[in-house]
Amino acid sequence: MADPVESPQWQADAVLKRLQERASDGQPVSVQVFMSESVKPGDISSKAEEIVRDAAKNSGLPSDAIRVGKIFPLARSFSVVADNPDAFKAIVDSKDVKSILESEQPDILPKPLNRTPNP
Amino acid sequence: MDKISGVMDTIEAAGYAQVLVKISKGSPLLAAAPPAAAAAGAGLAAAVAPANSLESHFLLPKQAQPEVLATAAAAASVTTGRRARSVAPPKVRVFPRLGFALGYADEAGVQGLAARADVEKVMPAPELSLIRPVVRTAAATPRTTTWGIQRLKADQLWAVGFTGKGVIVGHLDTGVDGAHPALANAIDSFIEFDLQGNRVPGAAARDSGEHGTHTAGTILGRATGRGAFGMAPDAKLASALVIEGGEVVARILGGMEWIVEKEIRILSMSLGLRGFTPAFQSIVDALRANNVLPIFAAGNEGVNTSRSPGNYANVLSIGATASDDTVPDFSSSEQFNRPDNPLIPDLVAPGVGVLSCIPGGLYAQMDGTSMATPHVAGLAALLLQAKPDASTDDLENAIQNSCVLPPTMISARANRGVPDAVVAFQRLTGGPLPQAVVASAAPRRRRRAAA
Repeated sequence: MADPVESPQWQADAVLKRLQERASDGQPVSVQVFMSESVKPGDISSKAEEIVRDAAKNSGLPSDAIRVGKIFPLARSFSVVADNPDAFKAIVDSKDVKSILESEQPDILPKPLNRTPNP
Repeated sequence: MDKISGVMDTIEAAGYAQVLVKISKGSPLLAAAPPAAAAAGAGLAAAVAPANSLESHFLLPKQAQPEVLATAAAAASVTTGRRARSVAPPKVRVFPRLGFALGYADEAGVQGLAARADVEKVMPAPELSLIRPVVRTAAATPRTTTWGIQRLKADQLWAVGFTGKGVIVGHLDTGVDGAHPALANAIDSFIEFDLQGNRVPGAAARDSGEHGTHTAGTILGRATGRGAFGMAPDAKLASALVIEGGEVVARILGGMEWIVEKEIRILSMSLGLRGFTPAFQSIVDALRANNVLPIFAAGNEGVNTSRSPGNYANVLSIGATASDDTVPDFSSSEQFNRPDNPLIPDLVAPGVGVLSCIPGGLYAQMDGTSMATPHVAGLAALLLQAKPDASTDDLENAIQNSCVLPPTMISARANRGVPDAVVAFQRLTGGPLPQAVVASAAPRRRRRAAA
């Protein structure tokens, strides 16, 4: 019986490890950040800026090293783009962050089987 | 005799046969039809009174006479405006423009026809059957319906007028081919999120693959020559192109927020991440809070697997069943350690050999919980038409409580089993299906189950 907690591949350490591998070549990586339910939808935008600002500060990065992207109030989520793996670790450490996912997911569509064209 | 083809066997058995006579061009028999025939209005005007010489080869079989006499009397009544009375029916009808005559003849008559210089051929008349109207069906019943529609009994709701009319179903997928004939006039709205998750202004309905057109067709595809495969064939679609590729998480979240913006009541989503992540819980809660019923695929990875957010406690998660009422190996199922809805999926729906449309005016069969999910979304649309003020919980409960677990399934794989549209309707409305409200002319042919 599975606990309704993150599967191993979605736990923060596993996601961070993948992000660090991707960001190691200096290319910017996009991440979707999900906040905890304690954050009100109306505060998502300001909270996102706060989380990113603190993350940059705590990881010793310039304030513009992490960029806030799209904000999804109903999802309590925002995207960030950064090229430094430490930035993602600092974001995850925020008490208001529930989970993060790589924005790009290669396996989000359950592929149909036994496709038969024009039967 | 060369002029006689395939008639004599029938005559030998019955004593006579209905024959079609090919008349030579230039024969006086093919002269213009008399006024009475022209008044009958047939574009290929039938001459009711051909030359007496031809009529002498034909007869009126006894069993045909009452019907022929009644028809002739009625025709005379219409033509003359007088009350019908006994008339002498013609033994043969000549179709001048076609160059044929039609009537009953015995062996002597056929031989006599064949001996005429102005007759080229005598052959059996083709047997045509009347396509009779079906009475008391609210919507034209298509020639075939898929096994999935029949299994869920959606066609029984159609028969009393519930076809999804007035309902818009949300759809997040690879998009939809809005030009497919099966989706004509089916797209209420379309939005495309580009690879960065930005809304593409004025984007025309298109499919970045084929998955979305297939799932859309199962929700509400209109009947075509391939039969009926859409569960709610009068519903409309609000479709967002959100996969695949790019910043797909942002694209999906954007699509979900768009569904809420548009105040859509039903969301069909055949996608998800393998395993469990709570990342989408807030947006799913927001869907529920905004009266949207999330109907999500469980996944195609088999026993002890599932995908998020299809494995959340507050979505209607859908597994697959085959036409033999078994759960296919690929259909995901998983037990979670939580008090509410611990077992995924909530129910199973047709997901094997599902015929639907794909881009380019084509069709394909596919297997998957992606195919099962839109069946349930279409069912929800039928129910929402029946009770537009139903809450999300009402819809969900009606569907779940209509399910029956066949003896060929175990609950660990199918949970509640297969929904029943008729029972769901009864549970939602508190009453039985109403009587059909409108009669329509639909083919009476036996319905065959398409794949």
